[in-house]
Amino acid sequence: MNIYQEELLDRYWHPKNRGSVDNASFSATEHNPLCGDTLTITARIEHAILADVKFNGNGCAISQAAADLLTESLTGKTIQNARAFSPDAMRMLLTVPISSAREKCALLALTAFQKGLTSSYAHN
Amino acid sequence: MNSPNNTNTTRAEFPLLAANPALAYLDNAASTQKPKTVLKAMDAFYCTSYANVHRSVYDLSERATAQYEDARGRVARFLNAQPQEIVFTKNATEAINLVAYSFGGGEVREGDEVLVSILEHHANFLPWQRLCARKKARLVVAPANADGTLDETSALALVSPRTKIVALTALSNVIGVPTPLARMIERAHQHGARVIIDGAQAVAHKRIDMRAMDADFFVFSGHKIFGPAGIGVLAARAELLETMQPFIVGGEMVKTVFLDNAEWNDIPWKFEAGTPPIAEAIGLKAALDFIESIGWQRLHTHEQTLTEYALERMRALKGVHIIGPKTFSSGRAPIISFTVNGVHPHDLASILNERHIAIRSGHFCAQPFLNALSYSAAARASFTIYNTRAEVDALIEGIAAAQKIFRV
Repeated sequence: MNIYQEELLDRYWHPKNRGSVDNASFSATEHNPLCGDTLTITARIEHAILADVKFNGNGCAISQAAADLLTESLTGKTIQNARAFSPDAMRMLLTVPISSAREKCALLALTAFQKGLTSSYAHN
Repeated sequence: MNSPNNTNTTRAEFPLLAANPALAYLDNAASTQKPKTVLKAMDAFYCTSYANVHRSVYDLSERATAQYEDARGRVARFLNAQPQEIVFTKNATEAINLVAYSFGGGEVREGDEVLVSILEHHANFLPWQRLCARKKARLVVAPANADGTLDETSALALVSPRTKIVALTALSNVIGVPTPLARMIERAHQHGARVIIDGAQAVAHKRIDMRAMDADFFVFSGHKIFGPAGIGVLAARAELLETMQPFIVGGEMVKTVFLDNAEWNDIPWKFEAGTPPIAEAIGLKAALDFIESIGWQRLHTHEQTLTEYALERMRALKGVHIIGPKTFSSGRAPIISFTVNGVHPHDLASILNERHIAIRSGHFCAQPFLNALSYSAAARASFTIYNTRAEVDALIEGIAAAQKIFRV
């Protein structure tokens, strides 16, 4: 099955959450050592809820579409629910089958987000 | 059989390729497939002659030792060197680390310089970066011209009496273009510097002659020249190996061990601690037999034909940008890195994969070089004796299909 379905490409070309949030509670950057791609997630937490989550960076269609889907899905979630957001949940969100070679691309945004969330809570 | 590959008879000698007629394997700069003769040589060794080497007096061990040392002799003949100048390592990377530790560790002092080029693979960059940090020496990086080739004038001018080591690739794994080895080696020697040549790419495309080249160290990996993974070669002047300390210590590399000191073995065994990759050495010998049975002239002709054809077809594709020189020139290896406007290299590689075309995407372990040329990632197609024009056609069609999917 071709992973480049219309919905994924549309996300890649017209992301809804590209940018950075104002008054961010945390910012976290993750690199894909395979290709040198970089992704930064910023999020603002209000009353233990993710009020706003955005991403910035450049990369392949998979990593960029995944970042857009993830940031949209996380917005409005409680910290507890966001922390429980697993790689499997990310795969389901993408709907297309991801080969192990592209796993790092698909999970780049989630890895950055979880890293940021963890470090943010370590500070508090 | 309606396969794009049934025109190439060499392909039949590679079991993996014969079993996958639809596969276009275009990642030969990363690693080559293995001919039947290599697999058979290793299998025969394990089935008839396997034992540890240099240890025991029984017949089997003597036979294994004789075959292992015979493989060393074969490598020496291949490079026009002496058997004692051939050290078996895990790969080219380990060989460079060995030289950085054992030679660099002894020779480089605070304030000295080590000269590398911006074209280097990480394997010929990081060992020197670390050595310089450890010794408070200066890592000097020779720049590239705008087209990615080595800026020879600058590179030559950067060699000075402070230079202790020059570490240079013989052939870029990104742009497939050779470096001016002879002039760099001559210049380095005029200033008393020693030269290590990374031959990981070059060894599969041109005849190497250690004497004619006059380098002090030359390294390569078996797996890039039709041999098995897990074996590499350091070829070095005997007088340098004699003065160098061992890299790894343990069994085999020692003559006598006392409680507080030890007497090292003779070269080259001083640098081969522990049980070596025995069957891999025997496989490497068969690989060198294979490449010489093809013949350098036939290999060059085949590679040049494919490279010229691929460059010509890629130049004709709108939105495709070839990294480095866009036309063939003498010594150019069949390695072409490129980008496609609007299609990330990883996405391109995924789309080609669905069409059974294997290419490399990423930074090719040459991040400083790609960054210097203002790329963070690229795609790379690399060919060898078993590749065909039909596979180049399939690659071009695949690129066009990716452009269609991404509407560029």
